[in-house]
Amino acid sequence: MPQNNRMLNTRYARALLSLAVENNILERSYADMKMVHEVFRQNKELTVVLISPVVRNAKKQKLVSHIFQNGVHPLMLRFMMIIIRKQRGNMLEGISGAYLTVYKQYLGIEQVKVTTAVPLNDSLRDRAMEAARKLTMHEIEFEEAVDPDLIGGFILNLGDKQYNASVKRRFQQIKKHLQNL
Amino acid sequence: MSQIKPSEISAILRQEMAGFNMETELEETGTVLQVGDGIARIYGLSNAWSGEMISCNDNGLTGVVLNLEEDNAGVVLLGDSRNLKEGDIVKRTGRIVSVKVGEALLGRVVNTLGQPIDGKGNIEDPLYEMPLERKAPGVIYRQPVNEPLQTGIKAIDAMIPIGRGQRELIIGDRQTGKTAIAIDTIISQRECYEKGKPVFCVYVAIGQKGSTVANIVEQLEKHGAMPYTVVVASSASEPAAMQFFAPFTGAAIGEFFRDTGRHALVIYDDLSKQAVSYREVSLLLRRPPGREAFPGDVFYLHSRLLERAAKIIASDNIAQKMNDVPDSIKEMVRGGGSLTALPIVETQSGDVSAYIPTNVISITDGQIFLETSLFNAGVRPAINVGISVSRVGGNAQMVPMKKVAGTLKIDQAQYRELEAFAKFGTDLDPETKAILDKGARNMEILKQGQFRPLPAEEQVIILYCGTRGLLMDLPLLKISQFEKELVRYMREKHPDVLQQIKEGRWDQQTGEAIGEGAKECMAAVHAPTKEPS
Repeated sequence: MPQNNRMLNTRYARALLSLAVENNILERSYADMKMVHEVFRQNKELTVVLISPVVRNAKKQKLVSHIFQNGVHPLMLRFMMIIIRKQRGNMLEGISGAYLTVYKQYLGIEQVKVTTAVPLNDSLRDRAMEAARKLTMHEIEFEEAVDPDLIGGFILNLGDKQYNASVKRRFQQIKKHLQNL
Repeated sequence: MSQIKPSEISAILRQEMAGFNMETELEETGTVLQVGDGIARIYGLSNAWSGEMISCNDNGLTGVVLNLEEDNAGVVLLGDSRNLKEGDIVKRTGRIVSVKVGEALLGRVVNTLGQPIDGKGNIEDPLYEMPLERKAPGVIYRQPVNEPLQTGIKAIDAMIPIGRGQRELIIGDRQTGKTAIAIDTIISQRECYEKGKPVFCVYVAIGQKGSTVANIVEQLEKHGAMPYTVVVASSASEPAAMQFFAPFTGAAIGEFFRDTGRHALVIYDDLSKQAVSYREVSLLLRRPPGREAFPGDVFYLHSRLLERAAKIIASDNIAQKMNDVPDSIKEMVRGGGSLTALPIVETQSGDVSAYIPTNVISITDGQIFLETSLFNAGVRPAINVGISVSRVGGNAQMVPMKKVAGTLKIDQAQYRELEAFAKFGTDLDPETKAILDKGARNMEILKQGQFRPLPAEEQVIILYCGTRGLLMDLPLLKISQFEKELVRYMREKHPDVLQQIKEGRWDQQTGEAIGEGAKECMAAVHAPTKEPS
């Protein structure tokens, strides 16, 4: 049920966000959640332990607080304890991931991803960022990827919109055009 | 073969490329969350419409958005889902599902997407884009059914007449001859086609075996019916989504003819299988199941499909203002066309109170009921006259047929009742005996072989003999021989009478001429067969 989990993740993330806003720890919460997300992503065993019905909740809580108590804000830690108490510890990875999205939505930051055939140099990057900022009229978070399959040109992803100006696509269009003659 | 110079090829290529649009547009995309069982969950696509086509990859895999949920869209895939993976990017097309329809489709076998599957090459232009899902014409663009659709089957044309624009359900168990009736009806339209006033036929095969479809196409070809027929086939091996959209493709093709002022007939064979495919898709999309696990909108699925069968108003001016006409055929809309639908529903051991049969019975303008027991007793077509009805076709029946067969249905019902009763009794009064004798002869007359549709005028003359009791002296076994004899005689001696009946006129003399013919033929049939000298 990944789609249902997705909804749940977002619910928890929104709740946490409003709490963070109330307590004025928005920036801190973002950094914390980013760290939590990273930890869970890199250590899949952690999720396995948290999902196990054999391990007692108290033990799970102890484990998680051990890992995070020095790194994160006490509020975040309490939040995680609640999640574990509700038998949903295995969802922490998803929730922290969702939090990052929700946070960006809240601040109106648009995620922009540029895929190119060769790595971007500085001047190109500046131009791309400028163009993206103009297109979205928002603050942007810039992400780069390299895919040699594109041959040339670039693909710009803005949320669920895509601007595909790659040479690969041109070739595909030409192929289609010639097939339909 | 002439020599082709490379320079010429590049010149042609260059010319073609000159008109090629190199512009890139902002596309709306989504990411595949999960794929399985022909369903994909897509994240993103926040502006997608319900019913919109989604282009899934560059291999031409398409999908249709059916569910719009809070954080994802449920898309059914019209093709092989193995090519799609989690994390793939899909694109909106901005088009709703549609097929390309044109005259060139006639004589072809196509799939749900209108692509040819008969190996006879591409379908030629001009083709017009017709949406699969389209609102039925509104009340003011319609007209009561007033023209008959000749099925060529005596029992139907006489007792359960079908009019152009009607929806008549063919229902019965497996192996009772449902498809045979439909195919005979298509073959029977050949006369109209040859006269230059064709009724274009669309046969939609849903979830059938490929071999069955091939067989049907072969039979249609053999009887010269393919030139005015389109076969839409979605065989059992295709994805459920393709199967449940197939009738809509058939309707779209039929509508093309209907809206351009011509007559069309569409056969959905069969809607119970389509409902099963729809149930599969719905359950996979996690829509809540209802009775017999069908989704709540299975009634609407069939009602909106069958509502598209219509007789369009004769006036061109009004018809041109018709609602929801696709842009592609806007210029070509004419009045006076019709789309007749013959949906087929299969019952399980005669259970008409199951969900789908009751639904479709209540949607259609009548039903033709086929029974296993009759079929096994040698009554073919195995129509149970007592419970078969046609609610609107009576107005469209031709005058001579109405004159001749007006009381046939009630007579036969009475006969069936007495027949059951007479099985116990030994002594019967002469009146009862007369009813029984006449009924048995009429039963014999109404039997008819497959692939042998009769023209209306020939039906009338033989039914006249039956209903007027002219055959009382004839043994039951000789009736079919008599029928052949009479038709041959009338064709030879009284072509004028046949012509007159065909034109819908009936008077005293017509009856007398037939009576005379019957007497002659009776003698011929009774006479011992001559040895060939």
